[in-house]
Amino acid sequence: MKIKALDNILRPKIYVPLILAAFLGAIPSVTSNSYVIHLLIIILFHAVLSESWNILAGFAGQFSLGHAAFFGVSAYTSTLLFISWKTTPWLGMFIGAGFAVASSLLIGFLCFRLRGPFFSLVTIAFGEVLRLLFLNWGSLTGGPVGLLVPLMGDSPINFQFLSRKPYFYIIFIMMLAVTCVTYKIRSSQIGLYFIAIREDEDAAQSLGIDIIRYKLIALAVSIFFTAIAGTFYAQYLLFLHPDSAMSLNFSVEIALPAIVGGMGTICGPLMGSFILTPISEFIRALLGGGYAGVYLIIHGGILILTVLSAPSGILEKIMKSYEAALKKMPGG
Amino acid sequence: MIIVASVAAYWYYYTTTIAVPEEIIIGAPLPFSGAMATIGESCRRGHDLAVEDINAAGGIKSLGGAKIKMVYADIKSDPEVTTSETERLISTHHPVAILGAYASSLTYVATAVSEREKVPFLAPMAQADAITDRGFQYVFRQAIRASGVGTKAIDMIVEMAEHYGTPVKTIAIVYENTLWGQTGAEAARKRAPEVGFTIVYDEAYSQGTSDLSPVVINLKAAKPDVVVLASYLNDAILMARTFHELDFNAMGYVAMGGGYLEPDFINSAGKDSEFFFAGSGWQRDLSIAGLADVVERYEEKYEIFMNEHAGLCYAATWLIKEVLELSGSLHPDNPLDPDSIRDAFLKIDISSGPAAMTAGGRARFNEKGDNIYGSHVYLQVLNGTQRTAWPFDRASAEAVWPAPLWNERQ
Amino acid sequence: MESVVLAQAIVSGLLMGGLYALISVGLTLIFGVMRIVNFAHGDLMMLAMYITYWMFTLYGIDPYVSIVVTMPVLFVIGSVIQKTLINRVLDAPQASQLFLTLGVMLVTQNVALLLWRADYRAIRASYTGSVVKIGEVFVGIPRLASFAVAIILTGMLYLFLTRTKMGKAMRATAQNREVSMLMGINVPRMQTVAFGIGSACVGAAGTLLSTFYYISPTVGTTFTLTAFLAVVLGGMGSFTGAFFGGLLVGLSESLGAVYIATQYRELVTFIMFILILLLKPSGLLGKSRV
Repeated sequence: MKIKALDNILRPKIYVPLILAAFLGAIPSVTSNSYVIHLLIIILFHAVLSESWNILAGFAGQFSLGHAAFFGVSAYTSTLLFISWKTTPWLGMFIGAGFAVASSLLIGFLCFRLRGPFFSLVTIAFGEVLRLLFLNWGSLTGGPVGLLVPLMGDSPINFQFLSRKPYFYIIFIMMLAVTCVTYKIRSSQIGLYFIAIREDEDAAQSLGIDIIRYKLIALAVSIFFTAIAGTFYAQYLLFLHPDSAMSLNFSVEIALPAIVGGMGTICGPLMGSFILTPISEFIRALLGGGYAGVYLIIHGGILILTVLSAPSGILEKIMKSYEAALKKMPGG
Repeated sequence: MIIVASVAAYWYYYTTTIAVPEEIIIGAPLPFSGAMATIGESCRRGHDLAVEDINAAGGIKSLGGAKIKMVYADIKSDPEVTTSETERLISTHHPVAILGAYASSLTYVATAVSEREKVPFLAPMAQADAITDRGFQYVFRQAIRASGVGTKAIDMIVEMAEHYGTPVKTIAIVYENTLWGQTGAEAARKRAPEVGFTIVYDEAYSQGTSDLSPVVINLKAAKPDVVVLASYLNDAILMARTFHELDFNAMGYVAMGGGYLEPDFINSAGKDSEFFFAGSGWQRDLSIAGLADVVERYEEKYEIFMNEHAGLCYAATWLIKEVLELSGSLHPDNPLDPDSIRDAFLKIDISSGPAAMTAGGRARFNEKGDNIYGSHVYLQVLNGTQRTAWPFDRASAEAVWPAPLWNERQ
Repeated sequence: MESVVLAQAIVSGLLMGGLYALISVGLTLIFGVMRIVNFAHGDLMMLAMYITYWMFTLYGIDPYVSIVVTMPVLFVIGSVIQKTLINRVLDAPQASQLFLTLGVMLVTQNVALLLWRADYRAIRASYTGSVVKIGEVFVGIPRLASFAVAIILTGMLYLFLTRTKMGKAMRATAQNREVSMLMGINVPRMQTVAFGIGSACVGAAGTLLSTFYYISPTVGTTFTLTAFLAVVLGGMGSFTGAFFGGLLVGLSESLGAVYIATQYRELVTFIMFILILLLKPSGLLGKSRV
C-alpha cells in the first residue's frame, strides 16, 4: 500500500530540506563548542521571529513594525508569573503567548482598516506605547532597571539550563514548528486568501473574502510564534529590558531576515537569518562593545541592496540554481 | 623517544602543578560611551593609577609578586550591553575578579552574570540596596548603600538648617528614574517626615532627557525650601542650567552624588553649578594619610582634577589587591578560587593604606557583601571647586547656606 | 501661580512646536510630491546637527551662521539620496519604499554612531543659558531665536510654493503626476528638488535645535515620529496642515509633560498619533491628499 507521505519523501524537494534540517539538528551532538552552539541558537532565534513575522507580512502583506512589543509582552508575562507565582515558564510561555495574541487581536482589529504605510506607522505607535508603558510601570515590570529572571541553575522544569545544548534543541523545535505551519498555510486555502489580500485587498473583498477575519488569523499565528520566542529569549538571556526587547529597532531586526531572504516564502526568513545573524555576531565578537553598531550598517546596506536589486529577496535569486540542482538528485 | 618522554613529562608537570599566574586579570566593565561616558573614563584613570602603584610596589606578595592587569569592556551605559559584555569579558579573559560597573542599574545586571559564573565582584560605587539584597555569595560593595545616602541627605539638611539658623519645612525630591535615583529617593522620602519635613514635590524624570523645564516649572510652583536631587552628568548640567533659566531658587540644592560630582559638571554648567551640594564617598581634600600625595600624582598625570569616581576606583583596586593578598595567605593552595576569595572578603578589615582611602576610612564586609563602614561626606561647589562642607568636623571650607538667589549672583 | 505654570507650558510648547513645524512641512512636501514615507527624515536632521556641532567646535562658527551652510549641504545630500535610491523605488510596491528608507535610517544612524560615538554632545555658546523674561514667563534665548528663524524659513517655503513658478510646478506634480508630465513639467526634477528642499528644511531645524538640544546619533528617530504625527494631524501632503500640526504637537507635548507627568511625555505623543490614525486618518482638517 502506498502512503502519499512516504511517496513524497522520496522526492528531492522534500527530502533535501529534511536532510539539511537533520544535519542542523545534529550539530550539537558532534560539537561541544559553546560559541558555535550559541551562534546557531541566535541564528535560529532570529529565524523563528522572522518566520513568524513573515506569516503576517510576507503572506498577508501587512507590514507590522510593532512585533517586538508583543514579544516583550509575552516575555514579561512568563517571567513575572515565574517570579510571583513560581509558575514554570513552560506554562508561562503559553499564558504569555495567549496574552500577547489577545492583545494583538484587539489592536489589530482597530488597525487593520488602515492600509500601507499608515498601517506600519500605527503599529510603530502601538509598539512604542507598549514599550513606554512597560518602561514606566516600574512596580510591575521593574521599569528602566529591567527585569532579572531569577537564577535557578540547571533546572529543566523551570526552563533553565546550564548547558547551551538544551536551548538549541528547543529553538530548533520552534523553528521546525513555525516552518511547518508556514508550509501548511502556503499549501492551504487560508494561504490563498492571505495572498489574495496581499495582492489586492479591494479585489479580494469584492470576491467575498472577509479581509479583517483573515488578517486577524494571520496576526494571531504570527504573534503566537513571536511570543513563544519571547519566553525563550527571557530564559536564555535571563534579563529583560523594554528598550532592548520591545524597541522599534528590534521590530526592524525581526523583519530584516524575511525581507532579505524573501517574504512570502517558507525558507526565505531562515536563509536571511543565516546570512544576517552571523554578521552581527562576528562583528560584536571581533570589534567588541564600542563598535557593536557596525553590524547594523552592514544590515542596512544589505537591506538597501536587496530592495534595489532583489526586491523579492535573495532566496528567489538562488531558487533557480537550487531547483536545477534538485533535478539532478535521485528521485527528482 | 627520550625527547618525547621528557617533553611529555615536562608538559605533565607544568600543567598539573598548581601554577599561580604571573599576571592576575581583573575585569572592569564600565561605561565608556553613552550617557555615562565621562564617568567611565574617571574610573579608568583611578584603576590605572592604582594598578601602576600596586605593581610598582611589588604586586601581590602572597601570590609571588603577581602583577595586576585590568581588562576593560565598554558597557555603553546600557543594561543589555552590560549583560552581554560582562559575559564576553568573563568567557574570553577569565578574570579572577571584577570591579565594575559604576551605575547601580548597570551593576545590578552585571552582578547577575558574575554570580552565575561565580566570579567575585567588587562594586566600588554602586549604591542601590538591591545589589546586595539578593542573597548573592560573590558580590561585594565598597560604597555606602543608597538608602544610607538618601537618609544622610536629609540629615545634612537638618544640620545645615540648625547651624545657619534657617528653618526648613518643605523639601522636594527630583530624581532620575533608574535604580540609583529611585533607591536614593525612596530613602529620602522615608526619612523626611521623620525629621518633620513635608515633601511638596516628588517626581522622577527620564534619565537622559533633553528638556527639564516641565519638572522645573512644577518645582517652582511647589516652592520647596530645599530640593534633593539625583542625576547623572548630563541631567545634572541641564538641571543646573534650567534652574537658572527658569529662576528656580531654593535654600539648598542637595544632590545625592552622581553627575554632580563630575569635574565636567562644573566645567559645563559653569557659574550655574555654584553652591550645589553633592554627597560623595570620597573627596580629595579629606585628611587621610597619603591621600594628598595620590591626588597630586593623579592630577599631574592626567591633568584633570581627581573626583569621587576616580578616588573610589583607586581605593577599590587596592582593596581587591589586599583581598587577594589575604586569600593568598589564608588559602595558599588555591588562592584564586572564588570561594577562597569570598572567604578573604569576609575576613578582611582594613583601616589604613590606600585601600581605606574613602569617606568611611575603613573596609569590612558583612554577610550580605556590604562594607559596613561605607560612608558619605557632602561637598559644595565653592568658587569653581568642590570642598568638603559636611560633616562639620571634617569640612575643609565653610559652607554657604542658604544659597544666594540667582539674580543676586554675579 | 497656576496661570504662570500654564503660560510657561504654553510658551515652551509653542517654541518647540515651531521647530516641529519646520520639520513637518519638509516631510509633507516629500510625501506630497512622491508619496514616500521617509523614515530617514530625522536622521538627516541628525546629520545637520553634527555638521553644526563640528563647525562650532572646530572652527568656532555659530549655529545661527552655519545654517547657511547646513541647509545647502542637506539639500545636496537629500537630492543625491533621492536620485540614487528613492527614485528607483518610486513605482515599486510600497513595501519596497518603506524598507528602503528604513535601510537608509539604519545605515545613517549607525555610521554616525561609529564615527561620533553615542555620547551626548551639546553646543555651549555664550548665549546658551541666557534667558529673557516676558511677563512672568522665562524664555530661553536660543529657543526663542530658533523659533523665529524656523517660522521665517517656513514662511519663505510657503512663498516659494505659492508664488514662484517652480513652486507651483511642484504643487502640480503633487496633485497629479501624469497630468503634470503632460503639461511639460520636468517631474523627475521636481521630485529631486522636493526631496532636497525637504531635507534642507529638516537640516535647518537640526541646526536650530542644536543650540539647546542634545546631539546624539539616535536623536533623529523621535523627531521623525513626531513629524509623522504632525503631518498626519494636518493631513498628509498639506503644507498648512503640517505647519499647524507641528505647533499643536509641540503644545500638547508640553502641556502633557507639565500636567500629566514628565516621564510620560512621549506616551502622550504616541497616543495622539494612534487616535488620529484610527479616527481621522485624513487629518483634523480633512485635507489629506492620499
